[in-house]
Amino acid sequence: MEDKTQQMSGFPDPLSGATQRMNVPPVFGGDPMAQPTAMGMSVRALEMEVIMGNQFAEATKSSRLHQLVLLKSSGTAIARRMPLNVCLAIDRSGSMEGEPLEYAKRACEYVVDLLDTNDILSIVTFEEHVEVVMPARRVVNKNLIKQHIQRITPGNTTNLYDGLMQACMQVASVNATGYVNRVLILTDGEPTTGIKDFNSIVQHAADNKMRGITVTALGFGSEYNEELMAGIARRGSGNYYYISQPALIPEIFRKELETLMTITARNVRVRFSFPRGVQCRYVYGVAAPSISARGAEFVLPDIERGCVVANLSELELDRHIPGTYRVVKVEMSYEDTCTGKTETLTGEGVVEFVTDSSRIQQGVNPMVQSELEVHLATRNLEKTMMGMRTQQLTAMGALSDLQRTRNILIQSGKLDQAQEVTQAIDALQSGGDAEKTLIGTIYSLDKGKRKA
Amino acid sequence: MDDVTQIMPDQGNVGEPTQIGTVKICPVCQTTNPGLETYCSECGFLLDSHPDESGVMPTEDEDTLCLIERKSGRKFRLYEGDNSVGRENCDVLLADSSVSRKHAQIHVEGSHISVTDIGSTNGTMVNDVRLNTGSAAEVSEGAEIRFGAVSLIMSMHGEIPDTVQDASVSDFNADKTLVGDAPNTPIPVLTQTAPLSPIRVGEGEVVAKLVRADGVGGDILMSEGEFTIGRKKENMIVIFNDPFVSGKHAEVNIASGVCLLKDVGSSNGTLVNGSKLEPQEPLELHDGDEIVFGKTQYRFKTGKDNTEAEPEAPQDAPNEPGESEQP
Repeated sequence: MEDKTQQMSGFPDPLSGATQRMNVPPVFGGDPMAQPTAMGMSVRALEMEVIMGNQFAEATKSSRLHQLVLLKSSGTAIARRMPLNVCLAIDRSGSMEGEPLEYAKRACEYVVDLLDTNDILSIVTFEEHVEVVMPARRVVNKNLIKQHIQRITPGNTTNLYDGLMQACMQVASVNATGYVNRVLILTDGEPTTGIKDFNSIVQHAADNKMRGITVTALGFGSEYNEELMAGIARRGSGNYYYISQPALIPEIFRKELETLMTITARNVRVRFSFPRGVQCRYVYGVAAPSISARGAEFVLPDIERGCVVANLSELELDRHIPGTYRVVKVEMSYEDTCTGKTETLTGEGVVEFVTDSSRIQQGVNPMVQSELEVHLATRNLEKTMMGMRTQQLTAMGALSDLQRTRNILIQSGKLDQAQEVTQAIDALQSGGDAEKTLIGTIYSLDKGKRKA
Repeated sequence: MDDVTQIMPDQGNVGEPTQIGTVKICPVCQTTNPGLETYCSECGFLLDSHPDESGVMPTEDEDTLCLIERKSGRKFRLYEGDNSVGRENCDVLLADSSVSRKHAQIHVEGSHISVTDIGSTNGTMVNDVRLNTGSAAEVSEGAEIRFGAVSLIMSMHGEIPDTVQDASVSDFNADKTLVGDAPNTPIPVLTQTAPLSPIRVGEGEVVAKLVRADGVGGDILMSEGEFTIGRKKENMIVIFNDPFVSGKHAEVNIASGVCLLKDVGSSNGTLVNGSKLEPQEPLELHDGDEIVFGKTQYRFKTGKDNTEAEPEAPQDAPNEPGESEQP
């Protein structure tokens, strides 16, 4: 009766013996390709583990409990990557003239070089009007595509909405499944013509996510609206990048393309179902979870290989007759680029309701605790950023806040994000732009993704 | 659970005869479960174990004080004392972008419950009356409290009182303008293949039109005359797929080449070139003006300039608004 957490798909758990394994294959310990699964099918891209914040809960009064869903993707390269269907939407407003546009063009050419004939590319530029430089086509004649790229010249204003819409239309125009669909939108300024308001633009990204097209937002320079660009990435389930120097544009494009080429799970949807007396209070870091009386449902960004995605949520438990209960059933579905099919994974969280409240202390799971601390650090980071923006926080105050957050991140193993906070601290000390970095850090922490 | 011998519940014999031996009755909630289930499908209890007999108690308080979201059935429990309401770190945690981080405070003292708005962006309404920031309003059983776009019913017994349920559930969505952010339900994706037909209002020559900025069609072709704009069907110009447009939103008056636009007191306002119209104050429109009703954006065009530039706008469109069909 000590074993409370049920693990459906096994992999070594470094933390405690309090985890019960249902299926035996330790996929992440060895070579995943060599391991047969319980179903006798080929190996799937993802494994799921459900961990409760505490194996005990109060029987005599209502309480709250955190729950961690870990999604782990296999780290081994798959034989064949999924072909890409990418649209590059490039801002060619007047402010991009000179170096920025030249580097952006070089970045586009770089993307052309990285893609092969199975991939589909389209290129859209926007200023006052939108122009389709290259409609969605297979990447066959690379030199011809590059000639078109070279003809891009700077224009006037920035019509971001129409640019985004046209880019999504290009990706959507490909009438075939089995592609990783992605729009990369690069801008250096605020939208100045067309639809400019935040909600319409961000909603457009969210609508396209529902159609299976994700949007990555790349902000260049110091003039763009980081709130808007991070909002596009968040609701479009893509990535957000802050590019400080024009020379970095090609490198960031490469980074994004490489990420796309290693995606092993797309359209990741998670559903919780609860028994009577259990409710979901909150799903952390998810833009629009739909929470109902006996369940919750939400979408997660695409997952690359060799990643762990941690999703934290908070449950509210009514008082129960003492005993062992399953408090949550987790179902996850995703498009697996290894098997080419929609796969589902299930898991469950089990808790023992006890009358002796002294036992609660013994049941705390340190891994869930650590994720919770990361989340609190993320909200602190948000608060620091707001304080800096509204100037309610002095530079000194912001610095000490950031240093404290960085320490928490280092302790929790979020080294990439800690590194970004260090960059923000440096930027702050040299009078640079810390917010454009930090908003990306907050988004990536909310995504809960880290290298395995 | 390893050592517990599986006990075939003897209730299996009195259950449905075809399922003898394959059902398990949950000892906690008495739900009949298929024999293969490990946990009760209703309450989650581990079916092969025994509940602790010593501490038998009801699983749910009969007199639970809570707020119930009508749309989803979610319950938000309230406790004696102060309960904070908001989007972050609050007791009543509402993950909706129309709710402020710190939105309101609910104070419970015995049977006295009061709500105070603590400076939210989209406001707090009790039974359709908007609260002034900082002043407390007494609420009773069955009261409807709205935080931003989230509507909740006050309940003393853990369920929505019968008196409320039949009152206004059905027309709640239909007749109210959403204030604040978009609803959670996905907005239907408009495809390119089926553009909306233009809407023709008034009689005689088309002198002006409103062109949808999102390019999905549904442009409005207008002759001289006075036209009402809104979400409800009785308007002459109906903008039906934008919940941010009010039932009666605005009016257009075109006479001798001058077009006046007036907001008739809409909830989310009318913008002309980015500035909000004062309610009931007409403004003259000029060619190329950008107009936003709720969240729907149009560009105003006078007739003669662009009849050729916009070939999809037929001059001989049928007169019936909203039912015209492209040949």
